[in-house]
Amino acid sequence: MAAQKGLNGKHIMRYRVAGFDFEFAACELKQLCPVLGNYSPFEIKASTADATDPLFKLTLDSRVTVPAAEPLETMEYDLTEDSATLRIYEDRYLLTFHWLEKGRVFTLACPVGHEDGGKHYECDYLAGGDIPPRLVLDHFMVFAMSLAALAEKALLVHASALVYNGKTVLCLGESGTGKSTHTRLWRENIAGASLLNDDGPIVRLESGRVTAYGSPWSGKTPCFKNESYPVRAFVRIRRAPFNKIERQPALKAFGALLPSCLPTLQLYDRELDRICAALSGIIAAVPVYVLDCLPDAGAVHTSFGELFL
Amino acid sequence: MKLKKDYKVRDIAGENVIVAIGRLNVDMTKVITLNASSRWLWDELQDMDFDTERIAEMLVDEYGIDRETALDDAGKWIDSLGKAGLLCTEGGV
Repeated sequence: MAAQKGLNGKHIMRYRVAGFDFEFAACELKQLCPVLGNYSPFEIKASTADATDPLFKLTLDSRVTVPAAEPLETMEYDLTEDSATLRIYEDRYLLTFHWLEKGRVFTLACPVGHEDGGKHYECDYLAGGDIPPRLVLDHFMVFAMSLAALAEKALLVHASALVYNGKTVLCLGESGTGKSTHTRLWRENIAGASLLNDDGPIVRLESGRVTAYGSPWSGKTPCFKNESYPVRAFVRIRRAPFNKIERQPALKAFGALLPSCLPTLQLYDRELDRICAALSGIIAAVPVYVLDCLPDAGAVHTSFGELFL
Repeated sequence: MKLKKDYKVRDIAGENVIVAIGRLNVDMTKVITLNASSRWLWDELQDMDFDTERIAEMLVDEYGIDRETALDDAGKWIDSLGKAGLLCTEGGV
């Protein structure tokens, strides 16, 4: 892994995900390399890096202070073993990760509003002199990427994305409803089916076409593919005692997709406006289905039959 | 009564869709849309205190309909928005 030195002496590593470049910056990045396995398929070597500004830069070893002023909005939420707090201010977002087991706290600051020259985000992930669990960085990065890419009509979607015949199908649903099970059953039952990403593919709307990209964020399944495919369909999965797939009219399609976009970006008009605009374009270009199903091969034949036969 | 602040109308696929801020979007099995005159009322009534009378007046002024029809339409509009949880009344939420 090659880290370049930036102007202020910090080491820089650059990546390209979904066609967007971003950089990590810190005084010392070498010790981070073993942790960044999920990012390495997306690394951009120094010689091929553009001179253009990345979509955003994330400095990993800043000291981040929480402003004295009251935030406009606050949202607290639980993660599997930890918790997080999002605070929204006029000019920035602050996301705090509470590592409950060790009683430690990390904070990400994302200024908003000054978009020229790329966005400069900061966090204190490496400010403590050690390397905290990767899931802290990933949690920050999912937020940072989602926020930064929103201005470019790209959405990070909570979905399991399968690939068949050069196209991808994004399976959506609340955690635990069976998205990953359904995509796994596809791979077990349909020759040639594969997985693009199991938790956070990035969807881009470009000139009326919708493409999904692999990303470094794939939940519990290590599936980090630097690949992209046109989206054949979105399928929202609901548990049922039978298998049935139904195409959704435009407004229900919107209702099926919105809950799978990052909830922390739906608390403020500025971001919610952009999500709605992107979704409006996406549902005009790609069909959205609801699949009521059992966790079995029959469910796969139902969705496969509708989408590829 | 007033319109609740957490909701905003957005153009989705050519329709006026009411989209709520944040956690309220978790269950979107019912998607609420407004037709043209509903949309016009929604926009006019932002940040305003209103009642059936007031809406009826606005409808008469804007659309030139008679007062009785206006009162009837106003009542229906308030009813449907109330049922959708989009109104807050004096002292309530």
